[in-house]
Amino acid sequence: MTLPEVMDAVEQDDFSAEMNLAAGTAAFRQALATHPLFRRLVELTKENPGEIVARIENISHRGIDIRYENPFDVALSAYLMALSESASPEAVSTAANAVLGTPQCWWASGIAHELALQPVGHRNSR
Amino acid sequence: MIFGEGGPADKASISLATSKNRPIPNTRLPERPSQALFAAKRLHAKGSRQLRSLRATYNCVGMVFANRRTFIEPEEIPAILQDDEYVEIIQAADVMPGDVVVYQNRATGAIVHVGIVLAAEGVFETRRIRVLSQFGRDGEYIHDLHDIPEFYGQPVFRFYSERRTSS
Repeated sequence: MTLPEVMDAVEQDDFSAEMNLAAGTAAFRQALATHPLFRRLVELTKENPGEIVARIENISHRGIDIRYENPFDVALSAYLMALSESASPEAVSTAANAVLGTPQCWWASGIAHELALQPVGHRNSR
Repeated sequence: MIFGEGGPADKASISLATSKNRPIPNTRLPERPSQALFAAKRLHAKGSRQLRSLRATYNCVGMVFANRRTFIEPEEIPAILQDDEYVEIIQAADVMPGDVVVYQNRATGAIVHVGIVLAAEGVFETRRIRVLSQFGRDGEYIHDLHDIPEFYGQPVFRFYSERRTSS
């Protein structure tokens, strides 16, 4: 799969529904980290982290119906986790801050909080 | 940054405690868009599963222990069971409607799901247990004990009850 194909797949409602089966935060992150789509996303992110950061920034500026959770919550989580595995600290920081400014995120904002708080030297160590 | 997320100072949480007044961290989650919930229904409403409700503001733990008002991490379950004096039911034949079923990862013991027993009928091979549970944030289903999404793996399950039959 190419990067656009993977990004399209992780932004679909079906992928969100699968990941939202998680009973809690640890299960959500574990399920995401081991999902084949995510592993492919990590590979592709290593080649072009800038495209993932740009996608996060694009999504973060979209208007949403604030009565509901951001429909990109799971996709943003996947992008952030992929960046945290392979991108530079600066790219991770830019992406985390963009997600922190994105309304109505739940899973993704938790990950962004942790990445924003993490000392730079501790990133990419998982 | 949110300090004390899920705790008493967090406006997104509700006041919640065990019977021994131990605070239960929790978070009220936003509802998910209807098209996302319908996608979840399309994926999960099959086999023995009967959809009861499509909401995403709580999880399975919040359904069982907080009357559907909030999201509680499954790591809180052991403390709740202990403080609320639940007792494990060893014999499956003793399981009754109203008891709690906890699904645990076979290898790690981590709690992956929890539900409430709705019906327990028959004996031995004909024993059939029906459970009401919220599948993550994907909606509430009435389902056979073993008929849960593959996402949860092949967990072991334990039953617990707060029932008292004598004072």
